[in-house]
Amino acid sequence: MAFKVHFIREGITENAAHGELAADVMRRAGIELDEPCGGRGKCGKCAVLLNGERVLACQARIEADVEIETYPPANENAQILTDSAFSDAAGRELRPVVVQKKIHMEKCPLGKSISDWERLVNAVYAACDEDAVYTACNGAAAYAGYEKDAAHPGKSVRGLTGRNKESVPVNLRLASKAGPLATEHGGQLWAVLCAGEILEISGEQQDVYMAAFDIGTTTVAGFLLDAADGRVCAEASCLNPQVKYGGDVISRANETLEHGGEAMAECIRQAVDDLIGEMAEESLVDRKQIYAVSIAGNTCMHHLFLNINVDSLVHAPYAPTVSQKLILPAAQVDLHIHQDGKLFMLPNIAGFVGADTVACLIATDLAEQKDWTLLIDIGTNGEMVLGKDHRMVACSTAAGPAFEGAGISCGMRGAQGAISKVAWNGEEQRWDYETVGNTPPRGICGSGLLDLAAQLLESGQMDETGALEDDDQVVVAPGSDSADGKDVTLLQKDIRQLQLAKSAIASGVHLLARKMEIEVDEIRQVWLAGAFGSFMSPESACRIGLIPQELEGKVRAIGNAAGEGAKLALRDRGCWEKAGALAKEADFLELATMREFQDMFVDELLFPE
Amino acid sequence: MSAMLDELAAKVAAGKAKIVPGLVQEALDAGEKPVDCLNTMIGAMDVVGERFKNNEIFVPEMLIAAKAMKKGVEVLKPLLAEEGTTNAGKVIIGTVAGDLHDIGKNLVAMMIESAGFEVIDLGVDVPHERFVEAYKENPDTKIMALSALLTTTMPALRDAVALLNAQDFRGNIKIMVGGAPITAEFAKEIGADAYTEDAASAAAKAKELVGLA
Repeated sequence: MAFKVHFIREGITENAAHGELAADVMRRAGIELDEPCGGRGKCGKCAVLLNGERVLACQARIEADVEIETYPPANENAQILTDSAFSDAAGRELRPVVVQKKIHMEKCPLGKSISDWERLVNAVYAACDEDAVYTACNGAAAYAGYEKDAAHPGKSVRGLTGRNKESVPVNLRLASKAGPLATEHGGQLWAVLCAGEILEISGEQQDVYMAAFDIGTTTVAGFLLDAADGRVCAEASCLNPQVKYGGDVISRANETLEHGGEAMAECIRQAVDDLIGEMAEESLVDRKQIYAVSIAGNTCMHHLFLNINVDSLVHAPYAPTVSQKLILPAAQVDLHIHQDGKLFMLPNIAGFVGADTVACLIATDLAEQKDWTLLIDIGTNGEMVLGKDHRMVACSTAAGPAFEGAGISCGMRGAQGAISKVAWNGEEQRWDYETVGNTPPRGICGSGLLDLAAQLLESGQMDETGALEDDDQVVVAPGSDSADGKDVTLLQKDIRQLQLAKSAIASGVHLLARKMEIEVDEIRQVWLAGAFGSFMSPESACRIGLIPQELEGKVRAIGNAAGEGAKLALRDRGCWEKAGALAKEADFLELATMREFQDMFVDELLFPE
Repeated sequence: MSAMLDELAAKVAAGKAKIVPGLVQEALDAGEKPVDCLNTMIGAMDVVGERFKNNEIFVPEMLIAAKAMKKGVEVLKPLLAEEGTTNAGKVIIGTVAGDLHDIGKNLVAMMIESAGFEVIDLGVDVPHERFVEAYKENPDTKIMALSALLTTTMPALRDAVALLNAQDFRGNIKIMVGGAPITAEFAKEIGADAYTEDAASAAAKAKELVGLA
């Protein structure tokens, strides 16, 4: 039996067999439908409203008379975006920076002289809808031009922003290849487009991939993405090999100033290239099929990766050498992907608030929030952004490495055997704890340190100045329980280190609020980015005042938002486009030059009573 | 020393900023002289400084103790002004151009202040000329203390000291330098009068330089 399917927008009614796919009915009705994932239900591009409910046309089967509205209304779209602010792909529109289009290259008519390259570009233009031409083909160049245009409104940047075909850079390799390939395949070719350029052509459809990286001071995380559907095919991470030149950004910058940046750049580029290889191998992907790499990192990591001058980063006023977003040939930074592949460097905000923070802003949509929202990325430096409604202010505070276990006598990273959760057992007068991997304790990691301090305060074993009441140390796990037979202890001096770190973050929060002329309790939500933010207990953080106590109950861990932002920059051209604006919208607050900072810092050394 | 002043000294050392002003007031009400209260607190800070030097306590405790003392001094200030209490002299302090680090510099400022000096803090990223101007505004200054916290700002320290050394008033002042990368040799090389390793020694050195110790 047949059902009637009414297409509201098009005003067409089409018959459908029982159980037939909505997508097939649409095709038969002549309604165009975008299916980059080939009908696998992954990309979300074919979403329609079926009797008012959002479904994927390639998955939904017709089992009654229905009404279908193509293209969901704009507000519905916005709702989806907000809901999935921090999750993978879900609900986000897929508009990757790398697209593959089926093109038809016309033969050169007799009596005319149209070059192979021109006919190739014409074919690409003919195959792309307006948006795709603009964004995929001319888009990236247009974004760069857009910024230039905004800075110098009087200057013409038509050469960059114009949608004219001449602006597509000539690729001699492809120009040579196009003619013979078109002849061989009857003009039916596939073209890979990225950043306003044609990067590859082929007779058969290719698998195309992209790779996103979050380069942290300590760790590097990479993600391999399928450009057709945006899914993550593989993830890999490693320690940042620059650690051998120093654990913090300043010592690495100094090393570079003394000995040049070659070695520093070479080792991180190698690490990224190795991770690309690792992920490609795992996914059975040829690394030459990767056409774009995005990188988000703090400003120093950004500069060291590009091997550009870091002198300005270590001298006040700590301005970046380059802050705007960049698209460069990947080969220029020794990444072995497709030979014409592109590197997308996210923009920096300031010397100590970098592209990783911009990536967090992309992932969280902080600028779109209606209520005051605080984003904190706690690492060696604590970067934070307070904002709503496109008003944002960012700062960076030197929290030091205490939360990563450095400078704490029994401190360690959150690796196996690290005491990660602690509670004081008042009845038995001992500490109950959990370790990573449930193995005998070897040390204390950042989250354990926070719990300990909170519990010491709560049980009256430590006063608000951070002084331990009885002894100058606390035995958390006796040697009889520990991995190496030695006591796992917290010393008075460890608490002092924690106080410095705690005060740095808390002072930053207070001064950001002051800058926005709001009370701290007007902040409605606090998002903790990064690994430490995911593992620590928000209650303990608030108990010791690392996060002001007023904000207890509003804190939420959001994981690796920087990595998520780096992925989104590739997965959605809109996000890449937005990155530049976000970096500019965020004001930077230099705490060190604020007279109030010192007073605030000393006050915040104290724990709440 | 009375039990009351002992208690005051103990609370300053423990950094009890909330309790100290009350204790000072109690001591005054009980008939203690303002100057004795001040000296009690200076003595407490000396002990704190000594313990810091011996690595028994750390930066936060010093900052917290200095804050507590500051709160106590606020109670005393109007009274001390009336009495015209001894002032060890003026010290101008600042972190050199290009350097925004201030915790070390502030520790030194607090310790020197605790030792009875009047401190004029020029803040961070101070242009060389600003040190000269500050002296001209305060010609009774006895010591100028300059800090550089980064290897990359050591040249700025050198230049600032060179500028001060070229001034007519150089004979009237002593120049102290400090900061993590600075050494006694470097201090000597650039023509400064004194270098100390930590804030407590800086306060002791300052007293020595003006002939108080």
